[in-house]
Amino acid sequence: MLVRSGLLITHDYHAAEDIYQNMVIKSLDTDLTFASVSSLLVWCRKVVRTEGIEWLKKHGREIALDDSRLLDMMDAESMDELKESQYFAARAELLDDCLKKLSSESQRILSLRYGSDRSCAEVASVMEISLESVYKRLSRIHLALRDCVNTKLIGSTLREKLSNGS
Amino acid sequence: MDREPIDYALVMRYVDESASDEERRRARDYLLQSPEARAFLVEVAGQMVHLIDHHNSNLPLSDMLSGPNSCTLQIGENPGPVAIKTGGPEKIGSQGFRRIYAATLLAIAGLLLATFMIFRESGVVESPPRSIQVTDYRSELSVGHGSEKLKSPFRELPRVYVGDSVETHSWFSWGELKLESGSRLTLMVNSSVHIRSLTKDRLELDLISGGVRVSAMKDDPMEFVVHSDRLKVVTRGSDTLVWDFNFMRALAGCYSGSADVTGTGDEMQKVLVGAGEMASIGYNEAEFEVGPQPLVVDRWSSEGMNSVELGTGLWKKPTGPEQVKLLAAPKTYILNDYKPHQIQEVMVGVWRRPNVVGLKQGSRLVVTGKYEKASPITFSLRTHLTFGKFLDLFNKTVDPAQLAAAGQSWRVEIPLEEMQPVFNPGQDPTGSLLFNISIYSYEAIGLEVNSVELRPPD
Repeated sequence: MLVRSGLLITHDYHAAEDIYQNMVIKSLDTDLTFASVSSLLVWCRKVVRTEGIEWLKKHGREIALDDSRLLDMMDAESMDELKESQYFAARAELLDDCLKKLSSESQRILSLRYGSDRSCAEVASVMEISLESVYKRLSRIHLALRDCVNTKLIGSTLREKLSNGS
Repeated sequence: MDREPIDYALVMRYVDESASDEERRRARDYLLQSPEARAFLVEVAGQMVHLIDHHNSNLPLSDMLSGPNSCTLQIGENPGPVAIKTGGPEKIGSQGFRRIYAATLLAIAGLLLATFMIFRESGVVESPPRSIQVTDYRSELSVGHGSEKLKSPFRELPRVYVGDSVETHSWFSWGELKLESGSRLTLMVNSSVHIRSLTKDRLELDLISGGVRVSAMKDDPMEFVVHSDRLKVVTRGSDTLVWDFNFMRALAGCYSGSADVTGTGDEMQKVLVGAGEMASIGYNEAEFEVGPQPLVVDRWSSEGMNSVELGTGLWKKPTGPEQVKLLAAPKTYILNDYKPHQIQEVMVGVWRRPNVVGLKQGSRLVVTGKYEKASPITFSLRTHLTFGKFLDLFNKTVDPAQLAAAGQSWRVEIPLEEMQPVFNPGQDPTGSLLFNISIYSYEAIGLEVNSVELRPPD
């Protein structure tokens, strides 16, 4: 979740990982005690955001006010920190199942994009398709994965309810 | 009323690091307007992190959460100052969610503990592998691995990752790669390297064929390790340090003038370079020894060109009684400006066991050749102070008016005293040892060399 926040700020996975690690170090260097995991996660998210903006400044990248606005909106719309971490943890297992059901072509594009860490333009070059096609295909794959996970989640919740007799 | 369809492809642009600022701005404006698009972005980012983690760990996240390592950690035993105390689990309704919650806490505690331990023990937190940006290339260059290689021309300059190979495919091609630290690698003509590993502190390459040049920036803490079939070379950034690696021999030239190394298997040297930095060249990773100093002679001639070691250029077999032809070939040449220069060169190796040629007051370089287009030609001597220790390059550029018209044979005789040092003004070549002789032009002029000779003083 925190790496994801860093990713949304920097658009760079490695930077997001670095920021996450810095955040962990900062937490160890700081003599703070949190009353709950939720408050710890709120603090972590703030640190990630500050570090992300610092990273953008350091790398001469554009920091638009609208980016901050967008992050504000997404923070406001996001779930409670704790629930969100539970939500994504719950989806992780199901996502693995859904990944296996993708076509080999879809698995290849994901592997190129996220496994080999290539930009969309590089994926387009390797697959000899247009950049726009890469964006479209990737968005379709993410949608398919989301729908697949949602279906499985509903199924498992129903099964749990049935087994609990509720 | 029908709702506008969501432009998911546009959202994908927002998380593509190669998208232009303008594209990203367009995507951001759209995201600001559309809550559905924002929800999709959150979903995509979550999936991205999972997919990248999955690839990096090669384990499903679920395995990671329930794996044996995390089972050894107990909530509340985290040694760091962050105390995680909560009654949270009781608020979760289902047994499944409690397990997930516990697993999440374990993961957080585990990460905090692991990071703390790494930090405590080494003071350094290992970064994930990085990539290297291709910044320039000429002609045929390919990057990648297996069937997923990117071949020039590229839509955009590619990045190189661990496991990738980078290859140049002709005598005309070269590639330049830049590390995050600013140091550069230049892949020479007809060369191939494989990236074995890359971290913030260390780059390890396999040199499969040809040569690669490392131009390390001053104060770059990166350690460069180049493996080839005969040599392993390790170096670090230092003051104006430029290293050449060639799979037949290693040429390590410190152009600040402190050291130079050459070796062919049994001729290995160990030198100190730059500001006290240690660099080493090892034969098959073994410690190498300083060999015996060769016998110094005062004359060298390319007579019997068949046995001349040709560093750069093409050897053309004579078809009749005429002289052997050595044809100039393109070469990437890096001076201490760290920029690659393209030259057309014939370079012959002079240093040969058991003898080495010594330069004396009054020694002369005599070269014969021709060209198809009249153009200035540079004649260059690469010298060593002692066996294995680079002194300088000594050059003289001769105007075509002193040579011959296009298509005509020319002969040039240059006294040693007329050759100027390239890197260290005031350097005197007298008494130094000759390593190789280079004859080159900056443009393709059909340069052909027929004989090269170093004559002793009369």
